[in-house]
Amino acid sequence: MKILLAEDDAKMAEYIVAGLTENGHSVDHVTDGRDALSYCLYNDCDLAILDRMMPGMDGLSVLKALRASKKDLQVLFLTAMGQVDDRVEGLSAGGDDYLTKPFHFSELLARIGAVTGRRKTSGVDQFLKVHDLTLDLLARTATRQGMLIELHTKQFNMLEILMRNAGHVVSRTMLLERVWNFNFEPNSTVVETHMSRLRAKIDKPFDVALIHTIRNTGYSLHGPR
Amino acid sequence: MDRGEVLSGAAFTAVLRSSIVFLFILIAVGWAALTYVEHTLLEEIRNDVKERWDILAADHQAEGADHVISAIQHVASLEESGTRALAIFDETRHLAGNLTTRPPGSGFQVGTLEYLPPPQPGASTESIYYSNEVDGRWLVVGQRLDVLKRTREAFVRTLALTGFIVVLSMIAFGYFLSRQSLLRLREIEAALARASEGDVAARIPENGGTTQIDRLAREMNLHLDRSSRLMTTTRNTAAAVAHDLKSPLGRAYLALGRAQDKVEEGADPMDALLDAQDELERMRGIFDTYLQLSRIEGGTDNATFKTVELSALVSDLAETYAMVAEDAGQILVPHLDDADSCEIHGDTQMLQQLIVNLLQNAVNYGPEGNEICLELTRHEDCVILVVADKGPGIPEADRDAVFQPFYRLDPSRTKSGSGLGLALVRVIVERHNGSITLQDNDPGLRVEIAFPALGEQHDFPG
Repeated sequence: MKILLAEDDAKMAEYIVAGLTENGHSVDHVTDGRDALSYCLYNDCDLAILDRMMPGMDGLSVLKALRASKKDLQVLFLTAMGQVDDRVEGLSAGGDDYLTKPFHFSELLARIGAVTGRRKTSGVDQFLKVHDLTLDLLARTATRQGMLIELHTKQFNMLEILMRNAGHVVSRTMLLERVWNFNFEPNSTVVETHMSRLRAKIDKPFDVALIHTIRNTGYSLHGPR
Repeated sequence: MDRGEVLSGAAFTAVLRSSIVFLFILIAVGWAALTYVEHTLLEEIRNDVKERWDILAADHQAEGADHVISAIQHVASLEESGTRALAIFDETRHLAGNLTTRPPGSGFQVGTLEYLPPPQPGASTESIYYSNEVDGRWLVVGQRLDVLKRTREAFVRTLALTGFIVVLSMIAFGYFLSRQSLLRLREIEAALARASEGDVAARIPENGGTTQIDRLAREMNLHLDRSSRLMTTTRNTAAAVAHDLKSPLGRAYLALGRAQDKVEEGADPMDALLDAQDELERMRGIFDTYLQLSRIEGGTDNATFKTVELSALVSDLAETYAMVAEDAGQILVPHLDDADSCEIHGDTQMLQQLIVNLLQNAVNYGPEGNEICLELTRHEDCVILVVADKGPGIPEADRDAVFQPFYRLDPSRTKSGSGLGLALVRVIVERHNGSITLQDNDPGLRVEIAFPALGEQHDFPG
């Protein structure tokens, strides 16, 4: 995938470019907001990762200009401005996701996966399927090896996010944001508690575990590799 | 004290101005009064003079000239002071009386008369007189205006004295007031100077007065209270931040060192690296929460505020945290008032965080078997949220202090947590114009929060 990184911190940019390249993405890097805008307008790329505070032009203005020119690429903010209002501002201006510094690299990868994956699978599929687990989005039930599994709302939402990002890491923060709508760190074991219940239902009775814990980061759902 | 500063004081200048105004009014009123009195007096003298002339004229007609002349001679000899003029003349000569020459003209006149003997020095030179012809002789009756002169002099003297005394005492009083307020201002100046040098205990002495300066002083003291509280908090916070951030930083260093050792030994450094990451994560959490705290505390923008149905929010979180409590061997019992609307004006995210912090505290500090009670009730004009647990509670002496950032009951800080939870709760409650109280739950802690409610309370269930 073709990614533009607009980031004025050289060291940070170096890490991100190296990491993304290792993961099979093709990355171009600019340090100035105006360069980022002209790059996006005249080059084909799938995703722009924008810092909000940049020389030349701030990330938010870049995004607004892109949306105004009907440029249909995904935009992910990667910024130190992490307050709720900042997020709301970024997302309502048309940003696809918002990640605050400092961050785990795996979280960035997970969000890139989620953002680009979301467009592809945002069809009207009624079923999500991973290995032998099927999720019925209309009946809001799960079935594994022919067994019907009843899920609570939160458990269902968690599983849906994991399955939509199957094979990718879904971070704890992403789950807090999307399942509970928490835009803050609750210093709590909410995610762990609910995850253990979800596991008890969809993994425990079966031989093969699908939900895998990625320490310090989050979870990933995938079949045996 | 410098006299110039006293004289330039507001009280003194005000008094000075009003005394000038007072003098003007005094002069104007005095002049009007004097004119009136003079006029009345003159009228009376005139009538008196005319009466006397009429008597003499009548005598002249009835009894003849000789009788009148002898009467005038007789009366003139009695007139020692000589303020009254009385004389009779024929065409050319002076017949009798105390005037040497006949004044010109006839009828009422005001002018100088030539008296015999001449008047004492200091007497008025003006006289009012009536002169007219009676049977070929001229009868003159007059009155020297000494009374008028004396009245005028007494009047002016009294007014001048009054003016002088009043203005003098006003100025003295003004000086006194100005001095008083200058002293008070000096106190304020001194207190502010001390405060700006960093003395958090500096306050303006309050005397319970009601003057504008006293009110200002009280307002300034309130401000000093607030800023000294802020300053103390900031100082404590800086110390606490240093402590709380240094510990995970130190542990991260250790973990990285361990990872290095592992790499040198050729072993897998993953565990140590993850530990380091974990510690950095904790630091990030503290930073985020602290930023959020200062943001909410300093914020005045309520653009994100809208109508929030607290019961929906609370029941959702109750469901989530029932499981967290269960995992910790505790039980969460929600008591929600479903019948009434529990709408308030607020920010969903902040309110969510407030409830999460309280529930998480209850779980963190409660023992196994802890019963956490989550209550939401609608009252007349407020919505009350209660979170009560059976944990160790908070000693009464510490109940104010726990709302300070980084304050911990346990000084060794063995329990995890940033020490920001309750501080955040407090600023969120304050942003929502609510009030929070900590009470004993016998045993445990009972946190009661009251928010101003929106909408009407239903009187019947359903």
